[in-house]
Amino acid sequence: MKRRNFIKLTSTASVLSLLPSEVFSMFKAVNALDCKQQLNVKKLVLIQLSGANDGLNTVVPLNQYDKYVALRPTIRLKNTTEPNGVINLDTTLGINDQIGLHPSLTGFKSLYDSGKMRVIQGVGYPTMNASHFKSTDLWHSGGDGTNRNFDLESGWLGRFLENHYEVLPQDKFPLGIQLAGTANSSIFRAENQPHNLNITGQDPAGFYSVINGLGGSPPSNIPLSEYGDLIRYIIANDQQTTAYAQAISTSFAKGKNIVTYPNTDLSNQLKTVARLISGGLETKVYLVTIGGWDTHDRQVASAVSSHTGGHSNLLKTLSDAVNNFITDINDQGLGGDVVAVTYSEFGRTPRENANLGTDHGRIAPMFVFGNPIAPGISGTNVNLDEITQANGFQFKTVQHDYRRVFGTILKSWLGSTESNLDLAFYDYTNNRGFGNTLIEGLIKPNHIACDPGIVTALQEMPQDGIWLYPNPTSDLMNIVVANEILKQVNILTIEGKSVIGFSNNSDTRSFVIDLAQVPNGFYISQIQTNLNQFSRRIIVRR
Amino acid sequence: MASLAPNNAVLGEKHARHLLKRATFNYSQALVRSFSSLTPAQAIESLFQEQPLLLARPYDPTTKTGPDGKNTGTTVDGYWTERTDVLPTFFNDFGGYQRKVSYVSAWWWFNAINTPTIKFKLSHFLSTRFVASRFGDLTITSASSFYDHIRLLLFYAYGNYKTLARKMTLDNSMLNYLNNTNNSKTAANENYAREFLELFTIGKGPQIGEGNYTNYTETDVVQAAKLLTGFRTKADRTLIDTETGLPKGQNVIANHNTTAKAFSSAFGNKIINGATTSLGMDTELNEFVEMVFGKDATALHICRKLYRYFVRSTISAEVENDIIAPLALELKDNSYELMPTVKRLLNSLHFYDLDDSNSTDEVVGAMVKPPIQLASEIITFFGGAIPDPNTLSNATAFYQTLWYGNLDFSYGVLSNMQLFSPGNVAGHDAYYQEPSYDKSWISSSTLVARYRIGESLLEGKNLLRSGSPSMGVKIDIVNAVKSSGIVSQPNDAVILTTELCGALFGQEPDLDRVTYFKKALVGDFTDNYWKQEWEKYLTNNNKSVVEPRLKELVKELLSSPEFQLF
Repeated sequence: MKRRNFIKLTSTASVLSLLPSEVFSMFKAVNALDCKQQLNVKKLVLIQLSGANDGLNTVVPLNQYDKYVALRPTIRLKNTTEPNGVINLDTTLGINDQIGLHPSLTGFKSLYDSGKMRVIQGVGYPTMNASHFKSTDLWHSGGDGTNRNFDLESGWLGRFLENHYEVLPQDKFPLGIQLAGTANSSIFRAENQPHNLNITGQDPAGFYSVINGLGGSPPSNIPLSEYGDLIRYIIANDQQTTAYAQAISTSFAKGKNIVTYPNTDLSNQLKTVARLISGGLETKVYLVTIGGWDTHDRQVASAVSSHTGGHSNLLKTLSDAVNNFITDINDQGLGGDVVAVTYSEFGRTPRENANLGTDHGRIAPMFVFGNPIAPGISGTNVNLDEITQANGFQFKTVQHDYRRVFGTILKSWLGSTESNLDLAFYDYTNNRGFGNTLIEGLIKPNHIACDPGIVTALQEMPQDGIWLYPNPTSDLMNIVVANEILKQVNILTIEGKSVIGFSNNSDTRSFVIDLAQVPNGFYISQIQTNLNQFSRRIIVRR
Repeated sequence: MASLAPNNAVLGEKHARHLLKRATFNYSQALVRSFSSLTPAQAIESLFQEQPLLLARPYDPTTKTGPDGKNTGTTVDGYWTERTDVLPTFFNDFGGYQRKVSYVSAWWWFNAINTPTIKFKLSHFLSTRFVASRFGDLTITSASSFYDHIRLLLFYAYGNYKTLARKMTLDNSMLNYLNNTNNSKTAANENYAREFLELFTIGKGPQIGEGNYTNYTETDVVQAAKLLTGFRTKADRTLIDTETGLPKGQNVIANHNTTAKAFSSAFGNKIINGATTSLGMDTELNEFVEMVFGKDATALHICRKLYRYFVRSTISAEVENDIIAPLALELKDNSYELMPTVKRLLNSLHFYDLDDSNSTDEVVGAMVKPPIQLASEIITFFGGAIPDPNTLSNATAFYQTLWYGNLDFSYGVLSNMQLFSPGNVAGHDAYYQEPSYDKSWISSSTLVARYRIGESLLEGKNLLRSGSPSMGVKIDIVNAVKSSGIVSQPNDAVILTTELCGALFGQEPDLDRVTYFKKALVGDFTDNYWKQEWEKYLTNNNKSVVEPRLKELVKELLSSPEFQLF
């Protein structure tokens, strides 16, 4: 058993000896309903920089400027004192922590100065993969690059959304909305029930009137086969789209923008997001995307004009779009509800190539925005001494696992429980959940999610008095019933096929089962007591 | 057990439809009928015939401004691909790079829907393998070299995959798209080298160590990048490849890294000596290509891609063993000639789902149609009268209205498939993204386009664009039902509906479903009502009653989930 699970076991052990009503009174002080409502208004905007952003020309380590110039004699950005030089983000920082923002990032600078931006240095994952596609898949699925979770089929966000939020039948809004890329992003892919919608290229105002009734009535008899599965998949997409479209069109009509955005694709996406939030749409997560970051050549116009060119244009588009978005949201009085964060599949080579560009690298910084964000820099400047032949001329140190960054946002901002966080990400290198390694002080104290620990205990102590933990598990799972004798536990597949069974031969209320031989996946556990039978969904994941 | 054993039974209508949908973009009733009485082997022989292009070359009727900047009033340089003096500034002077690459894809598509062979499916398959988006960097690419790129895919559609991989290295579009033209001996640009290994040829295996993808390692990417230095574009298209007759790039020894390249243990620690002459660069490239194609993993990777393109997305362990492995063996033994392998696959019991008793793992009907398939099927099945661009007075109607304004920049964009322009070098999600594959075509964002294209073609108005401008083609549905033989008894509402479902759907619907669709035709009236109305129409030629009813029926069929599959 993992150490963390032991701790959990002991911390809940005292609870177990109490009657359910007594447990409830223990938490009486906390108004769970209030907490839920607080969490419900919080939103997250993911900004994907597709193609791999050159971190080193986005954030220049000013304390190693000469080494930077040596690595990038042609594409280097000018120093702070030169014309068109990098912007010193914060001169009050220690000399070794000062960074130079790309001169196009004036919008970022103003967000930082107004206390709404955090830079996370050196973000990556344990075994970095240099393929755009695989690395994007890993960032989206929650993988760490090792075989342990190399081919996860669902996305971490999809898992988080389906587990964290309670979706009621009357809820007609999607939990997630994707605004770019006509194919559905893998980040939203769920294990069971997807709750996201892709509105790329659609006019949100007229979406409902277009989609409503379009596909006619679906067939009633669908064969149980691969053909039938595809038919069901299409019908589900159609029905979900129709159900969600109305809320989107309504919110879009009701919402407004009060700043003028530049007319770029990314700005238009964020403008729509601001308008939907302003219109009261309850969607929790938005995904916007800007492509074109694969700057193998001509990322700067020339050595002389290194502050212009392809990368500069991209950063300006990004910075202007984000600055306008955050300003729009804040000026509408919604600033406390929204956090935005950038990510890209990897960084680029610290050494320039011969085409005024850079090739596939490793780590890169992330930026987190919004009024709830405590401004500053997490981590230290990247170490350019690492760029040696022995290291393949790449950065070696991953200061922040990307899952720590997202994990911190899920937990400290959106109020994820430990177990739902573990469902999104698990740190197999250190055998622990990311709840233990949150990035300190990322969220301003007054914006930190109400204590998810309490909510966890309530959620994990359901009405019928059954506890299963850890869930998901990689091997052992504790099963505890409140007032009955546990007799038998059977594990079934979702389709109801029996997988393994365990008999409890001593008359106890608790029982440990070993699922080490059970393949990864979702299962139903059937729990037989001396009085009742219960069914619970469990997850095996390694 | 999945079986590659040949299916020797006469195709019959169901399997003729299956073969035609999967192997061509030309789904006409006449072909269905003639294929129905052939064996798969006979039908496949006919699919692999060499046929002349119906439309020889693309034409741009739009440019009327001459090099002096003045409007000449007539089309200037319509057959622009004939020019050999392409300068980097050429298309800027004359405008319309984006339009011209669209017109090249229009030229390909016109040939595709009018040629009853597998050539266009195979060339499209190859475009999903060697991706060089037509929307590469607009400041360096030329629409003419994109035309050359598509012609290269067509040239090797019946040919050799390995040779194509070699030729592709010198393709001007590809040299630009993956920056290999800038790959220099002083600082390598590894973009093309990486994708050559990861996407075009051997593919990644499991990651078994830092930078080690079983089939190759990061070292191999670095070495390959060095080996691939010095191949540069030749923008004026004056260098002609002797085998293909197509313009190609050039070998520039001064930019070539002449050191020996040492590959990893994944390639048996092979060392390839650096060429010192430009001619020697061809030999060195060839040695590299032979090294990569000498690995079984390359043949397996290509065969999995063929399977996912032509058969279905799921590859079970059984299929891997019984279908992929023997096909790969054959492909490699045939030195990567595509034709025998593709023939064997399409001729197999497995392709027709005749090799097992498991009725839940169908091949027939169990793939989501790519958007271009969906539109091409509707147009060719109902005989939509496409303006023939061979007549120059039709050129604007075909290239500009039908293709550029509607099928390409409206339907194509909204359905997530502009021909030859996927969002990234891996291609459209449907061809690589695990585990969704063909399901990727379906999203809330693409459904609207997929469901409304049929109605748009029936009405002759593009309902996907505001103001619903002319589509450039309108299906005459009454005439199609009356004269094209797509229905045996148009006066019988049940037969009419049943036969249309059979022709259009992935699998035959049950009686309930036929009844549901039939309601779109007859409403609350009896089937006899339809019979009377149809016969009235045959007598007086007044289609005011039957046309709206037929449109309603076909619109319903084309916007159903079943029509999304093939």
